[in-house]
Amino acid sequence: MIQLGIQIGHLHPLFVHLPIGIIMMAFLLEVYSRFIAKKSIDEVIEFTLLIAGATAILSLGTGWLLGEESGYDEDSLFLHRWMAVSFTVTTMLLYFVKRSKITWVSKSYVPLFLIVLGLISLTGHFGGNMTHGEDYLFVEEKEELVITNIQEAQVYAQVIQPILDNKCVSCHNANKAKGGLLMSTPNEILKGGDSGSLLDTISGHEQTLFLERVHLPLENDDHMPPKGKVQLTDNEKVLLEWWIANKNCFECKVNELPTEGKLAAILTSLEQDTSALAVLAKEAVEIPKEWLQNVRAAGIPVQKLSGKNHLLAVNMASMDAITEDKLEVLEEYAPNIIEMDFGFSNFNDELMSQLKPFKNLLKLKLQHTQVTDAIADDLADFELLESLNLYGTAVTDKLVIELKKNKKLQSIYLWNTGVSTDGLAQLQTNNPGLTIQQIGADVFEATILDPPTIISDVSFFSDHLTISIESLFEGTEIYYTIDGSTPTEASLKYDTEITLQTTANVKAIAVKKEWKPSVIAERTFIKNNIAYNNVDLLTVPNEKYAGQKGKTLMDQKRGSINFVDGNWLGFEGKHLNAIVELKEQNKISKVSIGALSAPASWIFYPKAFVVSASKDGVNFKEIGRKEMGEENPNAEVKLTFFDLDVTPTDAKYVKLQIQSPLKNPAWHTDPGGKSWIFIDEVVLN
Amino acid sequence: MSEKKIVEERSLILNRRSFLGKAAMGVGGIGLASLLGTNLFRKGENGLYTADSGPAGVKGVLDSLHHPSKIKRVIYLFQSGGPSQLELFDYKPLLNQRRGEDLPESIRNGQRLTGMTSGQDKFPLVGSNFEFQRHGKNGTYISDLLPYTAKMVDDICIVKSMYTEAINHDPAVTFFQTGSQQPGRPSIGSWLSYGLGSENENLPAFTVLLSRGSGRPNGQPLYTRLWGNGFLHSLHQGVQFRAAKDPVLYLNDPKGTTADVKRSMLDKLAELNDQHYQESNDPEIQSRIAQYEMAYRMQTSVPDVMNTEGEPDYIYKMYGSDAKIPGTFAANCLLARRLAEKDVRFIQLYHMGWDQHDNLPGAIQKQAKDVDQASAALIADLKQRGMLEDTLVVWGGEFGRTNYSQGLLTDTTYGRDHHPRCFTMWMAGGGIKPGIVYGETDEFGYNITQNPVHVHDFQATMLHQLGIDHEKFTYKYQGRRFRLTDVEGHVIKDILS
Repeated sequence: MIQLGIQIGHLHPLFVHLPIGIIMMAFLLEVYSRFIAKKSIDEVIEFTLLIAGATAILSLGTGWLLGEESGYDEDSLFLHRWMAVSFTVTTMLLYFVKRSKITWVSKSYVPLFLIVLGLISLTGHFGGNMTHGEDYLFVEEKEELVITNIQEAQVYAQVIQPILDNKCVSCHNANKAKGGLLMSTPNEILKGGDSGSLLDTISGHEQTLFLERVHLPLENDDHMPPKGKVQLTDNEKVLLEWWIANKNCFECKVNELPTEGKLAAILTSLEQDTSALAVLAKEAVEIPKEWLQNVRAAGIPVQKLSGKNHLLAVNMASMDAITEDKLEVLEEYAPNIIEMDFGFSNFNDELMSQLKPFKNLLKLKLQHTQVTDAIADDLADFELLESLNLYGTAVTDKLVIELKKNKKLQSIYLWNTGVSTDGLAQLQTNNPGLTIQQIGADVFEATILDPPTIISDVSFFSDHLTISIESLFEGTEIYYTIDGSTPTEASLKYDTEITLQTTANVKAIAVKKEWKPSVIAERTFIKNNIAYNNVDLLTVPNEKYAGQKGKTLMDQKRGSINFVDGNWLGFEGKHLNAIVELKEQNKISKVSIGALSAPASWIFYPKAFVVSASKDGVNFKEIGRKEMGEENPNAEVKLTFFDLDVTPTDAKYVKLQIQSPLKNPAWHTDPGGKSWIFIDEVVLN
Repeated sequence: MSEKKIVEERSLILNRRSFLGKAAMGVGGIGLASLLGTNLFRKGENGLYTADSGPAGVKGVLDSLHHPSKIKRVIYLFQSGGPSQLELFDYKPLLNQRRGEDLPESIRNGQRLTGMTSGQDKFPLVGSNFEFQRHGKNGTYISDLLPYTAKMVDDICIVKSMYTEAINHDPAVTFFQTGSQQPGRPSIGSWLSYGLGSENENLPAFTVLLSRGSGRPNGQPLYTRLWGNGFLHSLHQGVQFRAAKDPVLYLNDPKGTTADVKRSMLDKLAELNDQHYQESNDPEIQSRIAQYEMAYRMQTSVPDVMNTEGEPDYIYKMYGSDAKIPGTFAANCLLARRLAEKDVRFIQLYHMGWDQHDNLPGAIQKQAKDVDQASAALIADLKQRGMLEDTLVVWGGEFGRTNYSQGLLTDTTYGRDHHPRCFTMWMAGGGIKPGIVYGETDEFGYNITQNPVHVHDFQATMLHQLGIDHEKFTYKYQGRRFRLTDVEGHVIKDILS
């Protein structure tokens, strides 16, 4: 029934000429009636217009159905279709205008008729273009310029002139001589245009007018070809420069002029495509659609290389039931098949012998299949073979040495096979033009192992803490230290969980054969067994960064670089002063404070801190002071603990005075602006 | 469009369809099998399935390629945030010599600035804090930050003359992915899924993998619409594979569901959906039926592809030991290769964290380390497997960074703002000339002096390599024929081999 629609559509060419003829008839009758005024003719014209309209509808309907068939140029179809709609509608209108007795309506009759004629011409033209091709009407005698041997080619006639013809002549020809310039013949080019000669170097300028215009920026009004027109490619520019630099010789052959480096490659690219692909594409016979459908129905994915030729690629990768029968299905059009992929399938030596008919194969992929050196003889038959993938197969040197018969071979994949380094070298000697697609063994030699992970839920403890260390890889050895010294392979070897009794700076490395040892993983675990009652903040933190007030400093929770996480106390433009009241009197010998620095967020480390101790909470005595000074210019976000060993003192109250720099340093983007300090933890020992 | 209008439009589809299609099949005869496997719905506005486009899976709308393709698939390593070309690829010693001097107005030439530096009264030039060395057969300059990329330089084509029109992240990324700065158009992968279909019936044609960079771990996020299908059928949207227990959300069955129950549930559901389709003719219903089926098949295919346990140690030695940690760029590169092996057509990676406005030297070191080895390994791995010849690997961000410092400039630190006028990308694989550098910038690294490549040119070239003429590949929507490259774009023939 879909087919029926299309079938009806196929009647379009039959109907389509009716409205054309009939509307023309109406027009002729109209002209005739102007000479012989007879009422009866008007009636005939009316009838003719009616029939024209009716047949137009018929044509439109069938045409619409036909247009549903794919394969038409979208743009032409669009124009043709809607022109036809306009024509049909206007013709119907014309009929009613003709019949109308109202004067102003009748007046529009002649102009409307002319519009109808215009529309039918255009509709017909676009329709014709679609059926016969765009160049059917105005046939251009185009001589196919084929360069078979570039060295013998004429520089001007075969290399330069085609460029000019394509990019310049459309505006610089006898019909349309922009700037008074013609560019179709050598004489015209030599003569130049209104701005002077094209090829003479003008005094004071470095280059000829021709190249100057070409090299102007695209936005410049004098740039050629003008913006919006198809531009010269880089290769074309190089060729033009080359020709002009060699005295714009009109008679020379390519081999009479110097051709070096890039130029040689560009020139070669102009030669007729003699690649195997191009030759096979030309030879390949058309494949019936039914055959393709049958092959696909048999479960063999085949794909046409493109809509422009009849070559096929077969992809049977990862199939586990490839049989001789399956390959036989393909044999009828074996010469069309240039690519076969059997990777990761059950393909093997026996099946290989079934590939004989596929003598045009350019690419054969046998990666991760059962094939062995036994396929060497079969391979030799593929004279055109350009690419062979044997990665992950059991083939050895024996096979690759035989490959010298495959003279066209360009690339081969032999990674993870039994082929030795000597074999590869031998292969390269035998087939000098071949690229062995392999990465040097040294490229990833220096890969560093991932650092181990030191695992513990907490960073603070009061009595002891058990931690473990893990690596992502099996067969890895981990070495560690707990005193902050650099771990080496001579350090303690990790084999079971570690129990920490005191504050420890744990560092660990992972080591594995054939890998570079990891960088050091590091974590500090702090013992803090001095219990406290209360932390009294003498200065008030900014309300946005007030955490749990004083408690924040002793809650044994570290803040993160995300300083809004609630574990930080932030002070803007002021110091932090606080008094910690301990549960009971203790001997204090070390004080650590955790701080954050993020200059880009106006946060800096404190400048200094002072620790005082008291037994009664009234009389404090300074027991230690640490000066950190001003930070050097930087923009990193970082956090650290500042440790201070104090004179061991018995205390019930400990007073901390953490001094902020108060103002941003001179090197900051906002020097002198109010700066912040952020403190997350105070540890007493 | 009002509700009424939509219904009217659909009934138009119904009218034509009922003549061309439905009557032929017999009402109600459109079962699931026929939906997926036959040629019922020919190419049309909603051209979902056509016959002549290869193996099973979701069929593409293109009957045949416009010209023979060089590649079968694309792996796009998107470096989100805008990597600094001046620290990585574009060597500009002049910026070191004139460090701290103001950017001459003749060079800036009225370039519009982002809100982040428009208030700055000076634009002090700053060169790279990292050295460059020559590498490969052609002595290409590569920064010391990218030692592994440097080793693979003979396999990649570096384009130093990319430019874009956008200066802020979201429009710029959207521009790269969809060809338009405004949201709403289909992403590249969706276009390809629509045009070429899927070669693997068990996996979507367009997959997405995300990773967070260590250079700026809290940088801006990405929106899922970047891999959206726009006005194409939702069947073509990118499927994100996450680094978590459920790689694809809501894919697994609820506890206690057996395969039989699931199958019969899906069959019944398809019947109901189909009934609904008969009434409403909403093409999205077809999409939905197909998506349910795809999800069903993905229940086994996804775990299979995501399970990297079988990968040998030497693979991790290539990609770097980070590849063991799910969700890292390295792990995603390894997954990209596994997806490519399964013939997934468009594999989109996003690595965030390149938006280094301040403390760039510190951040870019970490960021480069995230991606360098894994990117190089991906190329090496594909090459040795014979897949690089039909895969296009693309590496690059949405724009570049300025040659002057944003904010604090000291001996050790500086920042860079967004720069659309020139930046660097690289491509490798199928049909791209290996080992070359294309395009040049001026000695200030601010303007392009040779062979500019616009975002649309890049997109046109990518489609060209896939066998598609970017000017012919269109979709009609709201009365206009849209294409990925809008009304522009030229294939960069000079970089094609």
